[in-house]
Amino acid sequence: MVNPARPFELLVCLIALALGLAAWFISDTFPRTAEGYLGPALFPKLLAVGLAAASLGLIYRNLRLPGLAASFGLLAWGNLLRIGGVLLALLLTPWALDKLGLLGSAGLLVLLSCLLLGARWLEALLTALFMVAFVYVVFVQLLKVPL
Amino acid sequence: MSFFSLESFIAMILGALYGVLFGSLPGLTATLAISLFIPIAIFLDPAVAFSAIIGITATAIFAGDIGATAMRIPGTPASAAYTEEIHQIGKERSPAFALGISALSSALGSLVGIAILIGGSLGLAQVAKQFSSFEYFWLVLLGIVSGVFASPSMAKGLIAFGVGMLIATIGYDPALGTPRFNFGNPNLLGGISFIVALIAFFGVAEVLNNIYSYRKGPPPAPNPNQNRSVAQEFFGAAGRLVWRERRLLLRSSLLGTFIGFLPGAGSDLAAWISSNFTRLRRGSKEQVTLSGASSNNAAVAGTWIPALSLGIPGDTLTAIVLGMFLTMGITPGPDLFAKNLGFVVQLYMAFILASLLMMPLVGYLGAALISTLLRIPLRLLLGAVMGLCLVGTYAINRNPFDLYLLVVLGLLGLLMQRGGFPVGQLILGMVLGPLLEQYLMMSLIKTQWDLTAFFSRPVAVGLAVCNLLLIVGMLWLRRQRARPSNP
Repeated sequence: MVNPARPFELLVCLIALALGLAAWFISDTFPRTAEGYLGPALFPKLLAVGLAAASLGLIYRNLRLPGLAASFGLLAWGNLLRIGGVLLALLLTPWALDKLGLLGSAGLLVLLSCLLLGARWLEALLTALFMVAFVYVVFVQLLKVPL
Repeated sequence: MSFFSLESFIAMILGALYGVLFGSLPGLTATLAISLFIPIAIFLDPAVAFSAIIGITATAIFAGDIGATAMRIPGTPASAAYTEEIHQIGKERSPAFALGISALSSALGSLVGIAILIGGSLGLAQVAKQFSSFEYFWLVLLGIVSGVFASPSMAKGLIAFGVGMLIATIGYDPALGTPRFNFGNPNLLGGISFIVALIAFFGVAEVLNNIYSYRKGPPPAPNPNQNRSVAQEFFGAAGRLVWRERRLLLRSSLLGTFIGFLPGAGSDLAAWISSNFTRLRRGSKEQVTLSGASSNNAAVAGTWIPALSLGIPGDTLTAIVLGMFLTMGITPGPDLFAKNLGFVVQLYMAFILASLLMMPLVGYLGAALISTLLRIPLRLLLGAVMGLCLVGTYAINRNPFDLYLLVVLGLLGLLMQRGGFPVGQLILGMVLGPLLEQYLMMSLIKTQWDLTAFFSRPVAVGLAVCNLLLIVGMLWLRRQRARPSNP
């Protein structure tokens, strides 16, 4: 069964399984209660069991169905690269905050995002400038939110 | 002091507009709106100050739906319960129709809540006093069970809930205060901010999802419904739908008021439980939106029941307002009705006025604004949303670390969205997880880990049976639906 959602489903299940296993083992290091009960580790361990069971069930079902390799062929690699570009821009924002301040960084991020979404240079630039002005007027001047 | 002066009326309108701005912008909450207003309010006449506060509380929760409709970013956690549905209605039909359902059902839900507030404050507050950690545990579990079964795939619902609840375990544990999963990073000691998670899972993930679906070529044909008159869609079509669904609206409003008056539950939980019950019954997108919007606004009135009659705040918003009461020399509690009956009556009337006038008026303005906004090409609108996500996230704590979280959680949101996992249930897990753990641990510690104590009180047993019936009933229903139909 070829389905573009399957690679993502498999990836989320693997992440959930890894999170469950990590929660199980890390919570072993939490202190127990005075009576010797699990204490702060109890809830994460319950969640770990639930996550592992549900994700293993879905992984098994996903691997058993035919067409997984063909489903990977449907991935839009070019657009995944664009997403990588936006996330990289967002990751660099804390660094840009020091140099450009929040308004400048927000403007730059809007500009990059618009360009990666296929906008022309001029319209992307105008959107970024409008966004900076909007944030300044609404957040800073009108609502007095300290930024 | 009078709530029926021109100054009070103007204060209510200005409060409503101020509340709408905070409610609709990601990162700004109703609590923040009230907190920033308090330094001004203490210098005002009490009637003027409370008129403004009622205007803010009446509209800030509803206004969360404006961001959800326009950008798929819920302005408040209460709107997250039905963000997917209201955003879809806005896209497929028109934002005016989506916001019409939300505003009209919010106003009516709020009126139901106020009617109960007027009629049964003292009696209902006595019921709330019967709730101990055992009853709360079963009630929260009911919210989780209904959420899991409300997902199209139970396994995916479980994973979404599990991941959400696990994210919420980061930081100090709610019962014993032990730091967990912070890996020595002080930024994680207080846990992951709920607002950052909302912006990441709904806002950033939506932008990334649109980038993933991006194809070069001519833009998609415009939706013909977008050209219909805003007033016709907002009042006409949505009004007819709300009237048709009046029974669902009444049920959701009653449920919302009930959950709202339980201390600590609040409008978020009310919206989630109510909309999940509608999903369980395979309700349409419109019905889910209507039940969520009516119950969260009914819950706002519900939170005032224990606040006024017992002096116990139902949520953080009423906690701040109670502080205002005390500052102004008004002591909430049973004596309030004997000593300040005139004040209480005027307060109720102001609530009714805010619900009848402010929500439809402000909702209509919001719908008109969004209808204009949606004429902007998607590539530019989504770019601007990305900037708003950055500003909204940074505005909460002014901590650059939150921006790293935005990247990680936004990417996880994209993967889940593309893989068909219900992102809304992950958010619900983040809301309900800490509550479930808190009530579980409190109950275990006070009974020295005696599990039979969970079944020792009549209301607790009733709620436990509700959970069991829901699980058995839904499993049976799923089995029936999975069977091939007879030829």
